[in-house]
Amino acid sequence: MTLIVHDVDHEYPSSHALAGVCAEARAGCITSLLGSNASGKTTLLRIVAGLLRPTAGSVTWQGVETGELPAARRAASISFLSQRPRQDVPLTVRQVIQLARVRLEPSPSEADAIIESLELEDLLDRPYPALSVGQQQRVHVARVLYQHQPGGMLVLDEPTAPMDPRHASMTLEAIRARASGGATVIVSMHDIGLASSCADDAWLLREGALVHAGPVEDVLEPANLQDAFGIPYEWVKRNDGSSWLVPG
Amino acid sequence: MKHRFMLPVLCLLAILVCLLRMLLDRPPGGTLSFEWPGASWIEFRRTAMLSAAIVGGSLGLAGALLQSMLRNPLASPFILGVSSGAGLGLMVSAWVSYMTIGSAMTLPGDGGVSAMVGALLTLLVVYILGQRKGWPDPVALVLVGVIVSTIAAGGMMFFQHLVPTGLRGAFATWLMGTIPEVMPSWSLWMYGGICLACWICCQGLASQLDATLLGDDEAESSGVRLGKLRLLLLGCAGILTALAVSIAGPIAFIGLVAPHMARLVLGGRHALLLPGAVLCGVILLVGADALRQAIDLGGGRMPVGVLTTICGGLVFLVLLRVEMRRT
Repeated sequence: MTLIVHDVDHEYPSSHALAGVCAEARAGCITSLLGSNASGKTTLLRIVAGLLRPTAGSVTWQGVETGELPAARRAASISFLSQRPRQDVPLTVRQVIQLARVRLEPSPSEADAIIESLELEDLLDRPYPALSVGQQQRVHVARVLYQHQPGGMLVLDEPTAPMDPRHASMTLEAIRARASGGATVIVSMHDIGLASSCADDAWLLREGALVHAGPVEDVLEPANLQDAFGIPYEWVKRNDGSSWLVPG
Repeated sequence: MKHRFMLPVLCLLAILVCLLRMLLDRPPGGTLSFEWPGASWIEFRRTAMLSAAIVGGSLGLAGALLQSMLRNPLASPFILGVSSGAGLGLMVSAWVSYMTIGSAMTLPGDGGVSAMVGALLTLLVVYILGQRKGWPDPVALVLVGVIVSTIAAGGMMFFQHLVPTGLRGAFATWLMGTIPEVMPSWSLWMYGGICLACWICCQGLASQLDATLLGDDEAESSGVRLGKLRLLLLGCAGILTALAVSIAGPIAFIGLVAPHMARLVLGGRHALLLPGAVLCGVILLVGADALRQAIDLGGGRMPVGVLTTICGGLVFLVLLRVEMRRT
């Protein structure tokens, strides 16, 4: 069930987004994808989700290239959250969440459990465009979790970016629960501290190249981060004894 | 949930408007009558009512499909250049007929086939130039449609210049849009059947159409085959528009206003929006055709397209203000 990214290159007409990316993501773990702006995170996630064909190389999961999966099987196998979902969708919150199962069997009880876990009960009948950006993002997280099938893959592009800390933590807990249930989870984020606390593995991208990959404690070394982001990082001890990575 | 109850209301309204059109008539040169037609008139009124219903429903559905596919609230069925293409087809056939047998056909009655051919050929050109790797590209389609429409309109004027003066007047009338009162019943059945088939085909894809509202990546990752869906929508919208134009000429605003009206009353879900757009198209066009019977400003019965352009524009502005206030 390991996701294998093999020598992936991707070129846009005006830029080279990815070059020779090789990595593996384990089932049951959260792999966080890190890198500065325009380092190729979103391109890599879209290729992993089978939504974009790489110029060269391959991404295989369960022995099949993700880009070759038939549409209905891909919907059952890979749930994808994009970085900027549209905000002018003329539907209610409930209807947006239900769209997760357009090609899959609906399960109202599963939907209700996810809605409850993300505290969306009171928003269900509200028009989606009337929500704040953070609330809209929670709706999309709920939609993607509802689409997710046991043993499937979750590919999430900055899922907590517009959320307040409480809802971000709630969202990460829900994602962790899916990983514990056997899901392969790849999630891009900019908050290094959050990544270090919630992820098992990390991939660090710099200018389209994967410069470090492995267990999160090995990858998120201050020296590696300074190399990738151009600013110093340091570990600080918190009152509860845990450590947190912050810009120095 | 409350939106669902509005669909029967729209159904009822459509039936009432159709009944009104059957009751209301003012024959050319005659006076306005409000009564169930006698044996000599019923065929004319029924043909006018049914053809207006088919054209209105087709334009409403085509507009809803294109607004969803192109993600453009200003998209109307004529954005793809189909009406100009139909006009060009009509003018070319009139010119060929004039050059070969020395007399031109009478517009618009026997020009339906050439208008349909012109419309479908234009649609094909727009698709070929607006596709990317074989699948329709929404942005390219709009741009190509606008340009092809302009070129076809230029061609229309060119051939208009070549045909006799009398035919130019008939063509100007065709351009205003006219609901025919005489049509063979087999062609009414055929057009109605095509419209119904397109609607059933798209209705089955309503939930996938909903998913496209979220964005391309979201729709594809939910299992929607976006390219194939867009190709199907383009085909259906194009055929419906070509059909409407070949029956009644280019009738403006119905295809733009009907989907907005339906969205306002029924919400954004395509399971309700598509039948709603069909019903609103029927209500608007049959209603306009009934209304024009009562209007006499001295120049005979007003072409229905004039009424839909003026009233449709006003209705669109009202809907826009309502929507702005609501959001």
